[in-house]
This record gives sequence, C-alpha cells and structure tokens, in this order.
Amino acid sequence: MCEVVVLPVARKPLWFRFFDSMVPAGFPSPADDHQALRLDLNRLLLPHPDSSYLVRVMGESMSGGESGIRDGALLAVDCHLQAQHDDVVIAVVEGGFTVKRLLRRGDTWFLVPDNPSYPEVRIGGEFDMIDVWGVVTHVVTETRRGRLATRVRVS
Amino acid sequence: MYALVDCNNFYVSCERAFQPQLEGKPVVVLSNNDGCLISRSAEAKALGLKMGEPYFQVKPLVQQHAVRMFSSNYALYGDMSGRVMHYLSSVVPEVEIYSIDECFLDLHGMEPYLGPLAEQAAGWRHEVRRRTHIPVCIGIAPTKTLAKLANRLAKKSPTMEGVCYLDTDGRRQWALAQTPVEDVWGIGGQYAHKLYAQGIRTAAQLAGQSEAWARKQLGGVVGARLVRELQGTPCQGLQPSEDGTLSRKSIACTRTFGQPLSAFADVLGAVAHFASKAAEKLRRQGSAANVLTVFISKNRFGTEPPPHTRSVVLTLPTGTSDTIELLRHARAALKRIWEPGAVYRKAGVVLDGLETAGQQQLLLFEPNEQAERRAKLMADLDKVNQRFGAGKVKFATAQLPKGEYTAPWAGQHQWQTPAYTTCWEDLLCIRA
Repeated sequence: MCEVVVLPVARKPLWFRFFDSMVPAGFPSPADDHQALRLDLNRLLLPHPDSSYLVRVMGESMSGGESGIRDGALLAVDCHLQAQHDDVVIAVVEGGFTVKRLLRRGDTWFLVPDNPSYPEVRIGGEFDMIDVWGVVTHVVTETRRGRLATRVRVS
Repeated sequence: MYALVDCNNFYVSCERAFQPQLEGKPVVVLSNNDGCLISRSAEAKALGLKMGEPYFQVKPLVQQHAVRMFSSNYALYGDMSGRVMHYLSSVVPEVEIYSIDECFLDLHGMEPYLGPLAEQAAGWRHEVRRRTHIPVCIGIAPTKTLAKLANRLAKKSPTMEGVCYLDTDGRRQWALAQTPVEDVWGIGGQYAHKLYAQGIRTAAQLAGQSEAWARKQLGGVVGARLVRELQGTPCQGLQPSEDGTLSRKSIACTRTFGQPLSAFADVLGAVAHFASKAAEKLRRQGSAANVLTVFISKNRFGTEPPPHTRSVVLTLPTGTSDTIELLRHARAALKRIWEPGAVYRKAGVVLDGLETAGQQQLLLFEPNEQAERRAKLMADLDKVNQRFGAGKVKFATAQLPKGEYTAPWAGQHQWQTPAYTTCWEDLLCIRA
C-alpha cells in the first residue's frame, strides 16, 4: 500500500524580481538624502530661453586662438548680455553678421579675429551697442565626427 | 492699468532679426501659398503697398522698388513670438496672449512695486529688442480698449519712442480726439459706416455718448461696454494664459492648393492632411472637439457662378481628438459635398466645440478600453513626430501619391527663409 500525495502544481510561472545590486539590510542608503536632479546641459548653454540662440560658424577667422572657434563650430549666443571688452560677439558689420572678439584700445573699439591672418575692423566713434547682436557664451565642437557634423551642415 | 504690447510689423521684424541687411529696406511677407501681403515694413507701407493685397497685383511695384519678399515662415514666427511672450510674462504677474504678436499685461497695483510705469515700459521695450531683436510698442491705459488705442498712437508718432501712457484725463481726451472711430478696438467696417452717418467720426465723440445710446446703436451690452471702456471704466478683465500659450476656442487648418485639383483622392489627401494637423494642435492644447466642419472651394475669380464654397458641419458623437476618428468623419463629410468634375482651389477643416480632453461622455457601444488604447496611440504618434520631424508618420489618406515628392495640394513658398531657431539643419550661419 502506498500513499498518494497530490501536490499542487503552480500552473502559472511565478516571477520574482531580481535586483542586481546589494540590498542594504536594515540600513537605508545614505545617498537618498542627496538625490539630485540629473545635470541639464541646457541650463549651462542656454540659460535664458528667450534670449539664447544657437548659431553655427563658417570660416577660419576665429580658429587657432583663445576662443577655439573652429570652422563648423556651434555657438551658444546670449543676446541679453551687455557686451564688454574681450567678449566674443556676433556683430553686424555693413549689414552682415560676423563673429569676432570685441576689444577696446584707448577710446576706440575694434572687432578682432583670433586668427592673426585675418584683418581687424575698427568700429567708428559712435559705436552703437545695437550693432552687437549677441555675446557668444559657449563653443561646442566635436572631437570625433558625430551627431553635430551630421545634423549641422559643415561646409 | 493695462498695457498692450504689440510687435511692430511682426513677421518682417522676425526676418530682419536674422538678416540685418534688411534694416531700412522695404520688406514684405506673403501669406501661405505666396498669395497676399500680410506684413509690411514701414518702408514698404510708404511705397503704398496695402495689407492683404494679392501679390500678382503689386508685382510691378515690388519689382520697380526692389522690395524684398518672403514666404511666411511660421516655425520662425511662432518661436520668436514665444520668446517675446516668455520675457513679458517674467516681468508682470499676469499676461493675456491676444495673438501671435500682441499681449495684454495686467498692471493693477503694480506701480508701487515697479516704479513709474512709463519708465518701466521703456525698459521692457528695450529688453525685448535686445533679447529678440523685435521692436515693440506699448500702450498703457486704465482699460483694455484704451490700451489698444494708446498702442496705436505709440506706433503712429515716433516722438513717443514706442510708449504711450494715458495716465491723466487730459491725455485720455487728447488720445480719443486723435483716433478715428473706425480704429477703435471692436468697431468694424459696418459700425464705422453707421457711426459716420450719425456724424460720429472720432473716438472722443463715441466716448461722449450715453450708455443707453450705445446699447441701442452698437449691439446691446457689447456696445455699452465699449463706450464705458473708452470713458475709462474697465469692463473687460484679463484672460490670462495658463501655460504661456494661446489656447484656442476653435482650430482651423485651411490652405489654398499649390495647383487646382479635380481628383477626389488629391482633395481627400489635402483634407486628411489638414485634419491631421488640426488634430495634432487639438491634442497639444489638451482639448477635444465636438464639431467638425469641412469645406472645399472653387476658383472665386473664375467664370462659374456662385456658390464657390460648399461646406458641411458634423456634430461628432462624442468629443474627440483622435485623428483616426476625425479622418473617418472628414472623409464622410467630403463625400457629401463633392461634385465630380469640379475643379477645386482650396479646402479647410475647422474644429469647434472644444472642451478639455478626458471629460467626454462615454459611448454606450464603444468599450472604454479601446478609447484608452487609441489615446495612447495618438500620444505615441505625436511623440514620434516630435522626435523625428513633423509628418514623419502619417495616415495613408494623407500620404503622397506614389513616386511624387511634393503633395499635389502643397502650397508654394519659394521665398521662405530657414527655420533659424527650431531646426538643426537651419541654424543661423555666421561668417567668421
């Protein structure tokens, strides 16, 4: 005589969560109190949504210098900043845009290229700040050909 | 006190912001399909170019004076408008966005905090110019109607430097006397005609009328309010924008075709395209529509007798923002007004009876789960199109015919500038 024991069989699979990490038992994560928001590059590059613009650069007149603006670079421009001596600015010269360094020598303002093989422009006595379209705050260049090169036309 | 901030020649100013060589030159912007003049620079106005004039009529004048012409670039104008409004909503607590290029600011009780309002306004004007390169004019007055009127005067007289503040009774009287009655906000051509016949030519004369007269002559309570507002008693409050955008009470998407169309499939494609666009807008503002209007128009200037436009209005079984539903109804509507053999120039889809989405009456015969799945589908569709570009995923009815690169209904925009601020490929390019 043998006793038959009917075992209940689970027909549906039972799923257990698997945590691929240490579970600190009895001790809460000390990082919880310091949980911070992810870093947002927009806040750095485009701090003022109404006056920040992205533009791209064509040409070599600013390359090789301190600003590091190469042909094809992407610039973050803030138009609400007051342009000062030594700012890199987007200026309007004879109806066209140009990017140059704004320098004051004595009483005269100049638009100076970082690349010495290009000429500088002396701005007339009645220099109107409206001629400065915006102040360049950041330069974005790719060190490896990537999304910027494919999305932004680089000539 | 209310302020009305209005951008000067807004579309032209947007073009100039990215093309400084246009400064001081006559510039015009054409409507969709390059049809009519919809924005003119001061120089273009001085040449005698009128608002709304068809391009083909002014072509000789335009060519003779080398007027620069642009197709409308709404991606750019929308973004620039957003920048102007965003800045203004950061300086005052409440803003009513009245249209793409103007908004009311509520300045009640603000003077002690802000300081003299005229100086403040001059500052705002300067800041908007710096941030967006768009010139604006500001009118400040005790009522919205007077603020509108003040704004018009600020635009007209350069000596005011863009700000007109009607703070005293004397100035108010002066401003009213300066304003022809047809330029008062709310007085249309019909009423202007009627008022002239009664010898009322200026806003001052209109403001001198009694409330009873206004009720009788100017369409009841609306007219009475208008006259009271001119007299300096506010009757209309601000209708602030909750989210900084213009929330619409009806959504329309209508276009003239790039070429005359006579095939049902082509016109259906256009209607489906417009309905999809309208549905997208509807979802963006979180609304659902209860009424759908579809219309198609033949050539108004042709030899055929009127009616040139036929339309049908459908009341939908339940408020919806579902493109699939709207397309189904739009197709049925189009079939009802379609005349075989006719040649069509224009079509449009209008959504009315808007309500907040998610509050609709449930349908007796449609399971709720399906509605939820469809809502999810629409949300995903919008996400895909946001990420990969507008119109990347479309419904088959709005799809282009095989082998064609442009839709047969697509309008012309041969002078369109790049979308400098909203598209990576179109960014402003600057010579170094």
